[in-house]
Amino acid sequence: MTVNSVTNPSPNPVRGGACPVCETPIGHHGALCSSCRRPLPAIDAGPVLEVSDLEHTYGSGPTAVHALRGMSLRVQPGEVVLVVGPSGGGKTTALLSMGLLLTPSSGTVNHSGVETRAMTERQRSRQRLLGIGFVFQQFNLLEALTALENVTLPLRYAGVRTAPATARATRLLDDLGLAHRATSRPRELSGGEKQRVAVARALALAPRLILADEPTANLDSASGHQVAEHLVRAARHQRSGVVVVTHDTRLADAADRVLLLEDGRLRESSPSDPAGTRR
Amino acid sequence: MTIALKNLVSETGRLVTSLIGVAFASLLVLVMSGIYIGTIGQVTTYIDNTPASVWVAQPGVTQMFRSVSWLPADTARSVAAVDGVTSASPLLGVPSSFDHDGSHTAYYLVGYDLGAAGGPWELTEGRPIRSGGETVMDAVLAAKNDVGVGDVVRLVDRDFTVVGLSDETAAVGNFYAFVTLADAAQLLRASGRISYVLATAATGLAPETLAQRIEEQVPTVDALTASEFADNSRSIVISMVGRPLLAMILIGLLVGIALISLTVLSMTQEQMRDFGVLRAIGVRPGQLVVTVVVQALVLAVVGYVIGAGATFGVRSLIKGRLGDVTVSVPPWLLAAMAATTLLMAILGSLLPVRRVSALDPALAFRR
Ligand SMILES: Nc1ncnc2c1ncn2[C@@H]1O[C@H](COP(=O)(O)OP(=O)(O)O)[C@@H](O)[C@H]1O
Ligand SMILES: [Mg+2]
Ligand SMILES: [Zn+2]
Repeated sequence: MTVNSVTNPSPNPVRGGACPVCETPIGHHGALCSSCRRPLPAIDAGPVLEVSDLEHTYGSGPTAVHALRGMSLRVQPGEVVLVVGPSGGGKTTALLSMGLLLTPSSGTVNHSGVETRAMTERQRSRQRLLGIGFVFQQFNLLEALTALENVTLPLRYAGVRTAPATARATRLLDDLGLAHRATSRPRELSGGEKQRVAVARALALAPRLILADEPTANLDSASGHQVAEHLVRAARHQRSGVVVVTHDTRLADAADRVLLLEDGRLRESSPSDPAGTRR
Repeated sequence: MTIALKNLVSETGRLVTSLIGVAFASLLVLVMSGIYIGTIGQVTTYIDNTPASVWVAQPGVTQMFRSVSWLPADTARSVAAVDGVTSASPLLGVPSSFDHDGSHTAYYLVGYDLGAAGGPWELTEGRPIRSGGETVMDAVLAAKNDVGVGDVVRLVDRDFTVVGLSDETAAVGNFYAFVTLADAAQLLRASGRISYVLATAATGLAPETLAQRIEEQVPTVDALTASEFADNSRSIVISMVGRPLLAMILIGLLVGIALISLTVLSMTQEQMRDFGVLRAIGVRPGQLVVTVVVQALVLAVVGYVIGAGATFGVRSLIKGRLGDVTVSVPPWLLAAMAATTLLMAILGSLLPVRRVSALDPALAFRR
C-alpha cells in the first residue's frame, strides 16, 4: 500500500504518472503496473466516450421497435452526464451500446478514441473489465461473497495481485462509508449499502468510464441521494467519466450536464429544468 | 477459482446435499464392484488353499461347483504311481444342504484322508479331525446356525461332533464342512468311490507336464492343473452371480452420473444470474467455465473421498453380518473409481458450461 493516497489526496491523484489502482508512479502506459499488475491503458487522454449517430432497432417488419434514432454524446474525463427520459425511451439500449453489451444497428461508439465496432468479443470483454465500471438497478452483487470480496472481484479478474487488490477495495469501501460492512454479505446490507458496494466495485479498477442504469430506482430518496453523491464524488476524484441513465430527475443536482432521451433522440436540458418542460 | 469455492460453501444445505449425492453414488459403485471382485477372488478359496499341482477328476468334469465327479477309489494309487507325482490324496466332495433347526444352507461336504491333503488349512477355534464321527465346519456357517465347538450336528443323515471351526472356507453362499474320507463314503453311499485325486508334482516339474503324464498313464481320468481347475470353477460362478452384480454396478454408475450431473446443473442454474453479471462486467466465458468445472471437480473429489471412506465402513459391516460375502477394495479399484467420478463431474458440467458460454450479458440490465 502506498502512503500518500489516504492521507494526502491531490486534486488529480491517480491519472497521469500513477497507477490508478495502487498509485505507484509509472513510467509509461500500455503495459502492466510493476507493483500491482493492473494492465495500464495505452491512451489516457481525450474524451472518454464519443457516441455518434447511434441508431438501434429491435426486431424487424411491422413489429420493429426503433429504440434509438440518432443519438450523439461526448463525455470528458471526470465529467458526470445524466441522461433522463421516460420509461421505454431507449435509455437502457443506449447504455448497453455504450457498454459494449449490444452492437447498435448503426452509428459509432468510441472509447478513449478507439472505435469499438470492429472489436472481437474477447476485446469487448477486456474493455468492459478494464475500461468500464457498471452500476445496475438491481445492485447485482454476488450473494456468496462479502462486500469486500465483491469489490475485489474485478481487480482479481484483471490479474491484480491479492494484497494491492484488497488494499484498493478496503480503501474504496472506507471512502464510501462502508468500512464497518466489509465482511458483511449482501443479504445483511440495506439497499443503499448494497448500491454503495456496487459503486465501489464499479470504481475498483479505476475505469475511464462508469455507466449506471437507474442506480437509485430501488432506493428510497435519502439513500438514493447518498449513493449518487458518493458515485459522483469518487468518480470525479479518480477522473472517470460517468453516464447515469435514469427516470429519476432528482439526481440532476449532482450532474455536470443533464440530457433528455426521448423517442430515441437526445436533447440538451438545463440542470434547473431537467425534465425539459421549458422547450 | 476462489469464487468457485466461495460459491460452494456459501450454501451449506446445498453443499451437504450435493456431497451426499456424490458420496452415495461412489459408495454404491465401490461396494458393488468390491463384492464382485471379492466374490471372484473368494469362490476358489478351497482350490487355492489346498496343496495340489493337478486335480484328477472324472472325464468331462472341468470345475467344482456345477458337477459331481466320481472316480474308482484305487485311482489314487494309480496316480501315485505316475512318475513325478510326490503325493496323491483322495477326496470325496459333493454339494449338499446343511439342515439345522429348520433352516437350510447350501454347503460343500469334503471327505478327506486324515493323513493326506484336502482338509481345512486354518482353524479359528477347536482342533483338526482325529477320528470318524467328527467334523470341522466353516466358522461362518457355524455362526449362522448358532453352532459351536462341542455341539452335535447332523450331516446328511448322521450326527457329527463339531471339533473345530475353519477359516477362509466361506464363499458367497458356499461353505465347506469336513469329515473323514470313510465317513463321507458312508454318508454319500459311495463305498469304493472317490471324487478327485489331488496330485503334487516333484520340484521342477511343471503342472501341465504332470497333468499330461497322468492322463496318458491313468485310464479314464481327466487331469487339470490346479490353476486351470480354479479358473474353470471361477467362470462358472461368475456366469451364475456375475451378471446381476455387473448390472448393479452399471446401475450404480448411471445413478452416479445422474446425481453428479443434476447436482452440478442445479448448482450452476442457481448461479446463472451471478454469471450473467460477471459476463457483463467483463469476465470472459472461459473464466466462468473454469469456475463451473472447478466447482464440479471439488464436489466430485470431496464427495468421492467421503464415499470411499464410507465404503470401508460398509465393508466391515458386511463382514460382520455376512461372513461369506467379501467386499474387496483393492487400490486399483479406488483409483479407477476416482477417475470415473472425475469423468462424471466433467461430463456433468458439459451442459452448464454450454449454458454459461451462451449467456447474454445484457440480461444483467434487463430484470
Ligand atoms: N430485446 C428487446 N426486444 C424488443 N424490444 C425491446 C428490447 N429491449 C427493449 N426493447 C424496446 O425498446 C424500447 C427502449 O427500451 P429501453 O432501452 O429498455 O428503454 P428504457 O431503458 O428507457 O426504459 C422500448 O420500447 C422497449 O420495449
Ligand atoms: Mg431501462
Ligand atoms: Zn498498480
